[in-house]
Amino acid sequence: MQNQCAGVEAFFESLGFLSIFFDISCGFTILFNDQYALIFVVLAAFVGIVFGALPGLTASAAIAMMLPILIAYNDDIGGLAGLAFLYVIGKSGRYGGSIAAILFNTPGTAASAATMQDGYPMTQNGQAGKALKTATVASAYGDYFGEIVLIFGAVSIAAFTRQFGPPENFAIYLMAFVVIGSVVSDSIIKGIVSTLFGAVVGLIGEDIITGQFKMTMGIDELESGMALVPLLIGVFVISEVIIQAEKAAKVKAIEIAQDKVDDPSAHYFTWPEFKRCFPLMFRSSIYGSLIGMMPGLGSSVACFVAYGEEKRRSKNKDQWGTGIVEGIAAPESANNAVSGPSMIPLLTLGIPGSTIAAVLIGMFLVNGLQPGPSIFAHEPPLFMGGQLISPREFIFGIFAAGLIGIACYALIGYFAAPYIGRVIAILPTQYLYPFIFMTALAASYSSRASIWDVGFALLFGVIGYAMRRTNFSAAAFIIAFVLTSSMEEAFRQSMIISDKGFLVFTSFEYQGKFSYAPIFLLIGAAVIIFRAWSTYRSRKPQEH
Amino acid sequence: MASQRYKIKVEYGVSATVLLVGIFFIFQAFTIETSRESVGPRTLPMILAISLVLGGLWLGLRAMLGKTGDMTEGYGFLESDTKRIFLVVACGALFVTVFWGFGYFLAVIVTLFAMLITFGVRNWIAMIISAILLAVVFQWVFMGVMLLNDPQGAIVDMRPYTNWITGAK
Repeated sequence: MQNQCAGVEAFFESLGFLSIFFDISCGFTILFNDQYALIFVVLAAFVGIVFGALPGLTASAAIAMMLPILIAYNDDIGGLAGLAFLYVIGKSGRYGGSIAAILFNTPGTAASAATMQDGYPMTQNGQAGKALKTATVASAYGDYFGEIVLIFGAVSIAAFTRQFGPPENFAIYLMAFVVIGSVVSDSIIKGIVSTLFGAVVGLIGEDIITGQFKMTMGIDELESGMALVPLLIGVFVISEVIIQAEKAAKVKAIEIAQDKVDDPSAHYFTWPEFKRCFPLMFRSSIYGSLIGMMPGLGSSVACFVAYGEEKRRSKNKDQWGTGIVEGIAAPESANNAVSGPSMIPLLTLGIPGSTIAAVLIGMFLVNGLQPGPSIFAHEPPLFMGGQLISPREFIFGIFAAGLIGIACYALIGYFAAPYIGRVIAILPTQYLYPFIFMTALAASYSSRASIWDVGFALLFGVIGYAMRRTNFSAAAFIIAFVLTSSMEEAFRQSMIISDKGFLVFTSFEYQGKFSYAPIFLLIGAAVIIFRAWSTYRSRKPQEH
Repeated sequence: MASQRYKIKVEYGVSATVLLVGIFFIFQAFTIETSRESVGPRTLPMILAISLVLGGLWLGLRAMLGKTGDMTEGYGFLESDTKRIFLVVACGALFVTVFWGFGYFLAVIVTLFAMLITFGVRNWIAMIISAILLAVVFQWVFMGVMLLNDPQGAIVDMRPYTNWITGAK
């Protein structure tokens, strides 16, 4: 029961940038000393693939239903196991979506929409095995690339953002709201309205400074605020069940074309193909990583950017869309490269870049950790899974879990993806979705043992359904809901501490130090102006 | 052209809904007591609620000017099956009602049964077996293992008949 990496820490600290290698080895030590965490990583790899491959369901839906159980057992299994589970499920869920895209011509997740364009034609050509293995290799490649960007990027940026005060934090939150709101949806105004709605719902409950109850509508259960689990379940699970119920009358059995038996290469992603795709996967991983770092932009954007860009660069453009491995390798490496870097805003600024990152905030808080740059500190020590570890070691334990999780889902996917696909194809949806609905209701109830939460889940299920039908963004709604109380805290702290009033956010000086707050506000303004301008330009030719 | 008219009509509805939500939260924000500070607990909720109203007005203006963009696949409620949406929500309401009256165990059985009917299953034996099986598993996992509160039904207390699953006395 002692700090796993104490002693040699000081020596590696003196190495500066190289200390990250020591940190990651510490992370692996902590992970391998925690049997629950290892089991949960393998379990998450499998569960994520299955949920990702089920058309309509996503990693967010899986997380929403698992979250109450993980929170309930957090003390028994240790914080690392729960967080590692959620983190890995996000990765494997993204990959799992490619199975449905390739085999059923239905993207399991939005992130796999571009994969369909060449994946399904390959299945029709009797090359489903090759397509699935290409997707597996490309996903693992992109994910490892993104993880490396996360590990080195987050630590470096956190060293800079640690000095920020309340005005800068508020400006960052406001910038995140504007950026997420304006880029997450096809319509800027709808993205921003989704963000505002999430934010105002997030303010329901006890006031962080005065302790009075706000906007509870006389409902006692709302005094502690709206719980995240029923909200997630409503928006991601119940809305999907409603959509599936509508389709129930039109369900057709999915048929998967058999692989060509006379062509052994139809089953494999061959070495020459891998060598051919390597530079393409590298470039796509860069696109994915850059997009992942921006809050709000996710895998669904990355996959189309990579697909479009690689098609543009290709010498055989006319073959794209007919079933070629490049058409799978590019979007799959890009959408999985998003996963790691999407954690950078969370770990360096406390801003979740994706829905999964938003849920991770809840799990971090359960374990006594405040997401943000201070998470890379060496103090105070935490007692987890029988080990005394620093927050920094804990985070690197999660990074190590991510690295192991990628290997797990790659192995499961490489050998079992065709079988998982075939099992899903024969699953009776008329039994599956009622079962998911019941699990969703049970999970809503179990978050606070309150029947009100079941009611809220239903309410937000209907709201989520309407949002999906009218192009509002569920992701922006959830991220804003999670962020808003921290934003309010930073806002009011700034106003209490400063004597400049609202000008504290536009001043380059705060308590004798340089303030970055105006810069963040300008970035937010620039993003929204750029988005509005590009939308205007894209519409202009249609009007003439 | 007809689809565009439909989209504009839906966008008017969306605008009205956002406006109403904004107005509702403005009223809610007025219920928050103010403090002596210039920026108190009411400030941010009020700013957000007013912004929602402005967002609703903007959406309405867009619809009025016909600048709602092209109709994309899956947009709107033309393909919506209102009956099935209602049935799913009714199943949820049924769960809440039966939970209140008879407790968790029966609520799971009745709701799963209703959901299976909603999804078009008509194999009564399979429906009964799966509903009872799922109720037993959920009762054991959530009440027995996770030790969640299993409240007494307001009409009938079913717990004496289900305690054998959870091991409760």
